[in-house]
Amino acid sequence: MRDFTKNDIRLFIALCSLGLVAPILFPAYINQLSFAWIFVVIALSWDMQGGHMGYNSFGNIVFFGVGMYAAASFQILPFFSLGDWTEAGGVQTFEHSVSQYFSGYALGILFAAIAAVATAFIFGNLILKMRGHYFAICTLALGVAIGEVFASIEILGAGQGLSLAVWPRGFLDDTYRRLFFYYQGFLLFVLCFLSISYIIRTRFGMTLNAIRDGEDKAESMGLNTNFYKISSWILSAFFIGLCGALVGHLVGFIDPIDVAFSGATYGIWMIIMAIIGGKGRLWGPVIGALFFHAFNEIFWTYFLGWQRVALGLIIVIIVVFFPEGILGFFQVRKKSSVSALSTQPQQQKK
Amino acid sequence: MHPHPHPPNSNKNTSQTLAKPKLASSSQALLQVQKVTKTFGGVVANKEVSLTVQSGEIVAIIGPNGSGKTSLFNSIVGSYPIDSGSIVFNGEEISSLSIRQIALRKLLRTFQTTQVYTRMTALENLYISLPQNTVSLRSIFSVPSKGTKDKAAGLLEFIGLYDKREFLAGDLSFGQQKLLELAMSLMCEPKMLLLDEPTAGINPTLINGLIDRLKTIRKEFGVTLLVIEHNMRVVMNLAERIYCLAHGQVLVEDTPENIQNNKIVIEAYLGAQ
Repeated sequence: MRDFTKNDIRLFIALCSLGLVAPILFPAYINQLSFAWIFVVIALSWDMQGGHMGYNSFGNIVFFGVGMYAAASFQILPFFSLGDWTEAGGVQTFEHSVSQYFSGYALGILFAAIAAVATAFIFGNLILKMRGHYFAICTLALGVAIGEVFASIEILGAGQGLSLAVWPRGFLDDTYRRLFFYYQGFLLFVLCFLSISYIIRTRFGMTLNAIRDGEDKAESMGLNTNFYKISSWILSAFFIGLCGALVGHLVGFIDPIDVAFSGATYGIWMIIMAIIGGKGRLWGPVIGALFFHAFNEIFWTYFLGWQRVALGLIIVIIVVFFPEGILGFFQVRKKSSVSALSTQPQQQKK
Repeated sequence: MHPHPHPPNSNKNTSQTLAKPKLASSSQALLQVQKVTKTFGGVVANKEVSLTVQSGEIVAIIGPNGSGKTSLFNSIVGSYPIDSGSIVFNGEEISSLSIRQIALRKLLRTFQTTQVYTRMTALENLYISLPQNTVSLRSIFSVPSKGTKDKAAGLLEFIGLYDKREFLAGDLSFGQQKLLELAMSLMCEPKMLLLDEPTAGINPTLINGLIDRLKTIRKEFGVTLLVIEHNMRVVMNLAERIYCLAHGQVLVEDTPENIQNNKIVIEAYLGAQ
């Protein structure tokens, strides 16, 4: 469960190889594939709270939106006035040169991470003392409230949204633009997966599990639970903030409510993906996100208009028949067949 | 209530007592609870309870259900603030400290209904129970060291759960969870342990073994024990002094032999007025 076995390594290498060549094999689907990696990352990051720590956060979308806005505005800021940029509305055109675009891009990514981490630190200190339903409801409200706040900041375009800098004209063609974003998404997945697979084997990861299983007990054993809770939220925020930055660039336009702080889509999807796959398990969110994304895309393409209905249906089926998720379902079955044969502990691996 | 003279349970302790002047005997007490009162609305859980535990002692608290034993434990470890009185541990007033701060001072408790991390293995339960003031930031982000692993395995061996080390704690029986919880406390290297009914739910044939282990914990780990217990056989075998609580107050404090024959205690247990 906790150890990274040989099978895990094989699976990870296989997935990475596939990830490296996928854009060459399926050039028409590069954008969808980029989103696939991003979904895996946000599901994995959400699972740090929802799965490993047992804190159902509906507010991780905040980091997504904050990261997106930070990435967009810090790419513009060093070269143009942000106020002019948002007010222009087509009257005036701004163009980044190649060097401006990429140096601004790097700066934006950096600030996306910083802003998301800072947000997690501040709100973590404020609301992570709450537990259970109270925490869940508070984070839900937080996501909505922050969205409204951003929708009223004039310099960021308020409710009209913010356009991102466009890919420098004449610099490489569109395929390269897509590949540029794709490989960042892929790299983010590799980084996120490796960090989390390491973290859950450490005392830090075990302490998150302890908080899930009995926070009062952990506290009475002298564990500084607040430190662990806030740190894990910061780690999630780091990856989700970067995902937000990337999605901003992929979409090209930030609407505060429908894209950046979209609790009804990305905000709830990251939770559903982790639950579908099996929360609290390393591979659960990965499998859940890939399954969810494929499912979503297929319905989007072939049964347009029915995708939300199908999504609702699949959530009901998962919750009723596979409460432990896809991965949990197979692991429990394997476990019971083993325990029927012998009295040896099922967890034994040595 | 006056501090009880220290029973000569070991040569080491006796010589310490003799070496110090008489006045120092109260400051030598590891835990000193003085006139602690705790009410919940109109319900008085503890009323001016005083008790003293010397370093290295095993003291038991008995009393009928609802007499305020567990409430007293909760007050001592800081689960909730007391209304009045003072609690001094190791020479320091702890009644206003949080539960975590008290745990960091090596005063720990176990629970009547077991509290273990159910979805983690028995070993993992121990790994994260290391004394927190010795844990560095670097070790938090590392896998458990060999020293930690050996220590955890040794403790499970001692408590008799080594065979179950890879079991999820939630899959263990109630009695085994109690033992695991005891091992978790020991992992934390406590100065003093408050045990809430350590033998409840444990197979009667294993209880003798547990009594021996508790005595070993005192002797070899140097842990002072304050025990709530209903099983009289355990209390009489284990404790050197006994406090009997009834209606939130200390009724009697005496040695096991005297308690057994004390009419007030018997009446309190049988419910006579």
